[in-house]
Amino acid sequence: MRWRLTDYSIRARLYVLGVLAFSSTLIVLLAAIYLVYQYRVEGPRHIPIKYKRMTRAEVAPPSIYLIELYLVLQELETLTKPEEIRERLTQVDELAKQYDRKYAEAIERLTNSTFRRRMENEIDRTARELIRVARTEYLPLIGQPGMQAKISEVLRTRILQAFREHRKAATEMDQALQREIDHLDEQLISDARTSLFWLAVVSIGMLIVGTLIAYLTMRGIVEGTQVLIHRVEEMSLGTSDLTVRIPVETRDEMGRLAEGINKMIAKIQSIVLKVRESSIQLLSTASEIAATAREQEATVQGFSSSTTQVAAAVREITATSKELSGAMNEVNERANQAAMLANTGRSRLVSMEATMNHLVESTASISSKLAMIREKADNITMVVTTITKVADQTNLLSINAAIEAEKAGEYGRGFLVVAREIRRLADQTAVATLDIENMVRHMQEAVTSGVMQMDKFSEEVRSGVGKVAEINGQTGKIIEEVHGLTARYCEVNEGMKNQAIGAEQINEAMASMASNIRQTAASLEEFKRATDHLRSSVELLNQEIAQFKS
Amino acid sequence: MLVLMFQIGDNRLALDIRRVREVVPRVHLDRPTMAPDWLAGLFVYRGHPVPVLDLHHLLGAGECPPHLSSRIILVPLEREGGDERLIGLLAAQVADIREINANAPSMPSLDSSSQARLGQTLVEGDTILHLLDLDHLLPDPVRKRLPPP
Repeated sequence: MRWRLTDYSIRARLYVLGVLAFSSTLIVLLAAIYLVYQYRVEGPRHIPIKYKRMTRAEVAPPSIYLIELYLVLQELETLTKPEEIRERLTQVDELAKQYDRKYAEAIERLTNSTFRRRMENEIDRTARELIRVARTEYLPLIGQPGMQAKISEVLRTRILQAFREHRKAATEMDQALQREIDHLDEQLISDARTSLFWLAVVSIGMLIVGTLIAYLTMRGIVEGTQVLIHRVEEMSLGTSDLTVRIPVETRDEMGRLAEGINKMIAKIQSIVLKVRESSIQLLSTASEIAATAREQEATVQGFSSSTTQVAAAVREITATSKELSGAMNEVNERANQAAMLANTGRSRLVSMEATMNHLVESTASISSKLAMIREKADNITMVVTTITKVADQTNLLSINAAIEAEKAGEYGRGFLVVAREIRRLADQTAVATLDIENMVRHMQEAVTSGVMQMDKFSEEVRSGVGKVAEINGQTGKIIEEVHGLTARYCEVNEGMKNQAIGAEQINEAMASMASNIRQTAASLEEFKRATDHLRSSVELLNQEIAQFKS
Repeated sequence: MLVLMFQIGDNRLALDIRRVREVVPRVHLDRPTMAPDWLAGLFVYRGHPVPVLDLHHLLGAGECPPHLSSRIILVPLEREGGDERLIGLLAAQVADIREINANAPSMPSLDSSSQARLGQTLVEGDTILHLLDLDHLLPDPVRKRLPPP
């Protein structure tokens, strides 16, 4: 993501701006103080120059004394008077001593080895040469007559030469010192200029950066505020588009403020939407209420006519009740007659029940007799089985007798005939037995079906007895009911009278109800008017809400 | 000649009365295990065990019906060495002895092994009779499988 200044809060930006301004001022101030300290008089940069100048001042004095010495030596050339000469000679010694002293002072103060060596090797050596030549070659000649030419020659050649050398050395050294001082001065000036230049550059740079940040911050605030103010003014006019949102591009306080306003607008939008829906619902509800009121009015009118009808119906009821009362008395008499008839029916039913019970007993005795017949039939079957076995044995016997007779040959012929007759009898017996068996079986079947039918009949008779008992009970109940009816008829008669009174009361209630209905109709009219008011108010609300586009 | 009449399945059979020792009622028979189907069992006759053959099984006519007239016909069977032993034949409707003409017309035997084993076919009055021949009825394999006396 691209770095943006607006990603930081305005507070942070203002803090940064303040810190930057303070720190830049501090830096420039400190730098200025430092420069002033460095380049002030007697400052660290001034002291070497000062020393160089002092050196130059100290190197000069020995030379001055030597110049004076040389001037005295020149005077001595032309002097002739001994007092003057003596005076001058003492002066020379004095000057020589002065030189020595000054030289000693100078050499003591010279710390630079180059200049010290130069002082010793060149200046002092030439000076000492001059003094030595003066003492050894020149001064002894002074005052001696005839030596004028020699003196001048010595002065013109040797001393002058020495003096020139000394002057040359002194001048050169002085020039060298002067050059060095100039050089140092130049350096100092250029250094000071450079420092000042950079100080100015740094100051201007910081000023520009600070101004830039301040401008950007200010612009952000001003622009954001203008957009927000514009939006809020639109909102305050009330005819704004609620769907539009402020574009949120920054994340600083303005952005948050814009988001807040957006949320507020969204809230207003939702509220307006809800209000719109509610007002529409309200409108429909108002219409429904109006419709309901109209319906109610119709109902009340219907009610009024119904009341009249009810009154007529109540009068009819009263008339009918009287008729019913007469009819009831007649019914009561008939019911009493029915009760009497039921009583006679009941006594007949009792005798019928006794007959039925007798029938049940007879059936039971018939059943037992049938069972006896069945038992007897079983006995007959047993006898028949025995007869069958005897016949079978007889048949076997006749066969074996025939076999034995055959074995006996002629003697057995008669016996063979007897055997055949026996066999025939046995066969006839078997056939007769078969007939009996068939008959007994038929009889048994008949008895079985008879028993079954007897059972069925007995069952029917029993259920007949039960039904008779039931009818008897029901008849009893009928009689009771009829007896109870008489009392009920009295109650009904009483009720009829009460009903007549009640109908009268209903009539009165209907009259009061009719007046109530009239009042209700009046209040409904008022209600209708109120509904119309409500409806017009809701329409007004709708128009107001419609101003908002949402 | 006089013949003993009996019935096997739907066939009426006759046996010469001279070949019959006695007719006895169907008594309780002791049936040995692993006996062939046609052996109805053994019973003791006058102190001797007698094997009883079920003619219904032997001739492939199903089971002998359990009637009172189903009886055992005891016949002597000649053996090698001249002596004889008794065997019982279980048959149904053993209840009549009849005189038949020995020279009655015989019918040609149908080509069927069981029919052949029934013996000579005669027409007596208005019925068809099979005159049982014991030698035909009991071939050697059957005789050999009879239990020893």
